[in-house]
Formats: sequence, C-alpha cells, structure tokens
Amino acid sequence: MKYHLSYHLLLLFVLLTAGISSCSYQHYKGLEQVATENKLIPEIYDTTFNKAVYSTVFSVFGQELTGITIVKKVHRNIHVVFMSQIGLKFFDIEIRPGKQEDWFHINFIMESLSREFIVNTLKTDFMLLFAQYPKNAETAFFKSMENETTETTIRFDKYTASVFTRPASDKPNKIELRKGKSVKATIRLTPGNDYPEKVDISNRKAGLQLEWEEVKWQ
Amino acid sequence: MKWIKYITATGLFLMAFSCLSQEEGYKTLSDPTPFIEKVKAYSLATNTIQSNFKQEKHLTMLEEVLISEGHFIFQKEDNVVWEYTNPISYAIIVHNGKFIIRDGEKVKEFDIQSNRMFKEINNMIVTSVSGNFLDNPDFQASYMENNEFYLARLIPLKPEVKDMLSEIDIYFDKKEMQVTKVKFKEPGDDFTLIVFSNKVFNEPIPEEVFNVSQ
Repeated sequence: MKYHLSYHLLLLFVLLTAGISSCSYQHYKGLEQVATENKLIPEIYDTTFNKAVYSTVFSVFGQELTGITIVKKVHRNIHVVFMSQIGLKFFDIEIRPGKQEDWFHINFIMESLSREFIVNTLKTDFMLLFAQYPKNAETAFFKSMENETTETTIRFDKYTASVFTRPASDKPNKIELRKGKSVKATIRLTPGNDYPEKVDISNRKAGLQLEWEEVKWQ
Repeated sequence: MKWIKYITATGLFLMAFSCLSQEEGYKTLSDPTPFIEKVKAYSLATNTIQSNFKQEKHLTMLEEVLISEGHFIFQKEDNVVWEYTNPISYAIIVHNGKFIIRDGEKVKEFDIQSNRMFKEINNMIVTSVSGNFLDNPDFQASYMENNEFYLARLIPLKPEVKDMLSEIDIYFDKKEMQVTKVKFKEPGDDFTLIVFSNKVFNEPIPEEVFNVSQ
C-alpha cells in the first residue's frame, strides 16, 4: 500500500510539474497561427512619422510629474523629450534603430529620475513602443478568422511580447510583455494616422505609469 | 619665440570666449550699483503684477519653436498664478505654502515645503519676475546692458537647480524698469524664453483667483 501511495504521489507531482511548465502563454481565444513568410512586426510609429506632441502624466509609485513629451524623428533616430510645461527638461532619450548596444541613449535625465529601475523600465517600454527587439527574437503571427484581430508575438530570452491589432486594421492597439504568465508591461494605444494619438503605458510591478495624449501644437 | 605664439593664441581664445559669454550687443555694467538700486526700488514698489505671457521653447532637435501662451498673476510675498491657455489648459497656483496644479479638469494640491522640485520651480518664477534676486544666496548674479535693456544674469548655485538650468537671464526694460522677458537656459543649447505683455502693476487681486476647488 505504502509503495502504491508513494507512486501515486510521485505521479501527481510529475503531472503537476508538467502541467505548470506547460502553462506557457495561451493565445487569445479564437486566434490561430498563420504561416507567413517575412511577416513584419506592426509599427506603432510609421516610417512616415515625423513629430508628435503629447500632454504627459508620468507617475512612479504614486509620485506624479506632468508635462509635455515631444517625440521627434531626426534622421533615422527618434528623440523622446519629456519636460515640464515651463520647459524644464525631465529627460531626453534618443532611440537609435539598428544599434544593438546603444539603441537607448540618454542625452539627459533629471537627477531625481536617474534611478536604475526607472531607466530600465523606460528602456523596456520604449523597446516595445519603438519595436527595438533583440536581433535573435522570433516572430509568429496569429489571426482570428472570425473578426480579423491579429496578434504578433515576439519571443526573446524568457520574454514574449504580443502586438495586437484591431479587427480589419493594421494599426496596433495593444502591446503586452510577459515573462511566463506574468504580465510585465501593458501599452494601450489609440491609433492615429501615422502615430498613436494616445499611449497608456503601465508597469504594475515597477509601479511606473506613463500616459501620453496628443496635443495639437501650432 | 614659441611661447609668444602660445600667449597670443591663448589671449585671442580668451578674448573670443569672453565675447561669447556675453549676450550679443550687451556690455557688462562697470558700476552695477545704480541698476541694483533701481531693481530694489522696483521690487519694493511691486505688490501685484498681472500680465499675459508668450512662451517659446527652443530645442536644438526641433526646427520649429514650440509656442504657448497664458496669463500670470503675482501677489507679494509669493502668491503666484501661472496659467497656460493655449494650446494647453494648465495652471500652477502657489498660495499660502500650497502648490496647486490644475491640468484641464483635474486639480491636485501639494505641500510646497515637502516637494523640493516644486519649491525650486516656485522660487525661480518668483525670483525672476518680482526682481527678488538681489542678495539671493542661491544665485550668482552679473549685470549687463544694451540700449534697450538691463540684463541680470543669474547662475544657479544649488546642485538640484544647476542640474536643470545653467543660467536665468532677466531683461529689464530701461524706460519702465520692468521685467520684460526671462530666458531659462539649460545645460546644452536648449532654452525657454518667456515674454511678458499687457502688464498691470499694483492693482488689487481678488482672493478667489488663488482659490481652486478640488
């Protein structure tokens, strides 16, 4: 009897362990993988994008900074400058596409924001927003046959990023970054013509949120 | 003879540098005392200011200048309304030690003493516009002039301000002895220029201007 009990417990343990390890990310209901060649990751900021000005709320563990963010393409690079309404800069970050090491370059960051966890969280958020995934990332494409919703997954290291588009649209409306089943970052987007009109970035664990809403300036 | 060349080159470099460090067309006041006395009188006589302002944000990465407009109210000692009306609706209100931000419909209140950054922003606004920078230990001041303006250049000494600003230039109109424009220069070449217009001095300001309901 004792032997049988131990055997059953062991079997249960093995099954449970197998169950947990196979509990990897499940795709959204109704989405099926589509075999496509050279499928590109949907762009949040189109190649035709030039400049956007957003009113901004940046909060870290309940502390809030409000201001204006300018996202501007200069040659191939994208500058993200966040400053107060009075014009005092909080940070000036440059995204350098194609550079593996120094793609996230800090031109300036205010001393009180220059903390490792803030910088690392911003780096992850901007990786998702400006599609700066590692070169070895694997991409797959899923589609709902019912309503044309799509999901592009980008896998790298232990992470999976999912870029979702709305039915019958090639404009992303949500990005999610997960490690296993745990959601690390969520970005909700309100698409515009060649860039999003609203961007809402939430990093629940890091306690950091970034909200952008377009301001029509001049 | 090499050393003569070296001294000449160094001298030329220093001359060029000293010219660059001065605002174009401005010369240093040889005796700043009369100007300082005028500023003291201006600061002493100014109890309230109401003015419109136009703000220009110059960023080296942008070809265009970002322009915003608004309204400014100051009441001695340090009550301030700094309100943007175009293209954003945003106001900073400093009243009785409270720092209130109105962003569209949202209103938030902060204790100015508990937030170092708000304190510094308030300090800079009040210092610049009220002319209250004389004998201020937070800044090193130098004074210049051209035909039209006196220029007071403040160099921040506090590390937390130095991090954000390299200089504050305050321009006084020579005829009226009033602050006409303020330039906030950042480390690098970016700067913010604020130009005041339709100024009204020493008119009473109703208390409700500073009261923003949450």
